[in-house]
Amino acid sequence: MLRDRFDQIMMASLVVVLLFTVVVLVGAGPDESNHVNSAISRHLERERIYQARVAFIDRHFSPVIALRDSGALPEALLKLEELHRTLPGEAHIDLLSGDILLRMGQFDRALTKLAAAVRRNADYVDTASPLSQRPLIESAVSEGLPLVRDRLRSQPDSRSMAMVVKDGYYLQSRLAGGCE
Amino acid sequence: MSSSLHDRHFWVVIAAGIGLGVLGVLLAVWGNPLNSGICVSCFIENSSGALGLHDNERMQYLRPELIGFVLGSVLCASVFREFRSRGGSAPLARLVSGVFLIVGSAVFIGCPIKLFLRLTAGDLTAVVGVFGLVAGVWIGLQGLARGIDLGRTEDERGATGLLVPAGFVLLLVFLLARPAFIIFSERGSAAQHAPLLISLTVGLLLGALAQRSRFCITGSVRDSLLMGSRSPLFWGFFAFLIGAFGTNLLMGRFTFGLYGQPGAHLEHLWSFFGMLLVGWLSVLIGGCPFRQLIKAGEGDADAGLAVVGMLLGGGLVQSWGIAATAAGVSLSGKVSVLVGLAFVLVLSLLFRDRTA
Repeated sequence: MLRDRFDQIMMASLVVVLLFTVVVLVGAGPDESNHVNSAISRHLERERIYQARVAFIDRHFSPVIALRDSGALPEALLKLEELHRTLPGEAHIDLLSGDILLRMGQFDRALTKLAAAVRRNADYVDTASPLSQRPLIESAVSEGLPLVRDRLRSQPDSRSMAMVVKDGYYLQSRLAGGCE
Repeated sequence: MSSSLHDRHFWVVIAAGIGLGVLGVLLAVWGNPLNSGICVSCFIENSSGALGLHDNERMQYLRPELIGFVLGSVLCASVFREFRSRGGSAPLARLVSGVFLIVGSAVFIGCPIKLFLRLTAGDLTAVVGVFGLVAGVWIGLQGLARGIDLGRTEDERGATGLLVPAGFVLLLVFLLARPAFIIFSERGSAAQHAPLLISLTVGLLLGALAQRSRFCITGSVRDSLLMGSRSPLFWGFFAFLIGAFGTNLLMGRFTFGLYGQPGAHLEHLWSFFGMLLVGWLSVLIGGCPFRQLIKAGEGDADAGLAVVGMLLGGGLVQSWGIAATAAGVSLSGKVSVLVGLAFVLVLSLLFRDRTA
């Protein structure tokens, strides 16, 4: 392999470069590696954003949760509508609407709202997430899905009911897990 | 069949089939996402995310099984003196094919291995994927019979076949050392995984078995279409199905039905097209995503380029919203599969030897 002087120079240079790489890696102090630091910062940033989101939800939705817990369900829904004007597209509005509608026995609307919430933020079905709402979604699916399926059977031409059943199946599939 | 029983290779194929089926289910029992004990496309998407090629926070994990498949193949090929640096057959076409292998799999939600793991777990949405895969393999075979050929793979100087295995050794170092620039999800499906040592060992074992046996799913479908039960791969595939089905039943993982299945959607037409694309491409480039990994481990630089394409594809399907979810297939997913089918058709036109 090392046939002539050129080969020998190349091999010696390779050894030197590899050794130098090891020296650079071993000798790098905690402040010297900008790339590693930026990766750590990115990770911390991500964590901070997530914690900020949890705090944001607590701050904005605690009045709704208080109304819900006191049994004032229509008032809680009105409060959510109010919030919808300032926070359009916020997944937690759909989640809480689904929760309240479920308590009111409106399973079809509850399933639609919960499916919309999970489509926007899959953390609601994730046990590892602080935002997890699995028990709520599980109970909506186990109680609501059989009812809306029966309703679809009795009105097979109802497109809106077909959509609700589809939402129920979507939630069922997300609860089952899988890689996505 | 009776003469095959005395053939050692036949039993290696059976062992590979059973191993893939049983361990494919058990890895999910040990922590991998449901029905995704082994899914090369999901693992590729996870690994691309871990390398920073996409930023879906729920899909970032350097899957040890993937590293095990390649390194198991390298070790086995080296021990049996089958490691040979080779390549030079339409490299760019193979690279792009690797991207589209992942596009098709992501639209279906799973590679051909996961297709059958889903089916043997009772997921009826996978049935249409089976039709798509078989149709794709059949069309691919028709093309091969009519002269489509990406060109001969030739022995290469300079040990280029070592580059992809070396890359996977580096990934193993990253997995063990966990440098800060490698990202590991803390939520979502990528946070669900079997213990590292188990995943790596299973990967090494299956990589070695697949290298010895040449077993892969699309290869089995191809050989079954060509030779029926005379092909050892037909029986390996049968063993895979029995192993996966039996383990799913034993582990209480069998849920029969069309609705509410894990990691599945109800857009059957696109499941069909996704798997059609994967089956067709796999025949043209000589193997499904799993087989590309194994061949890359044997020193096949062409397969190595397909693997690089797969990693790029893993980043793209997440970044561009191509990957399907339980909610269905996005517009970009549908368009990408159609572009993939157009790509295979162009390949078929450009790489056809019309002199024969």
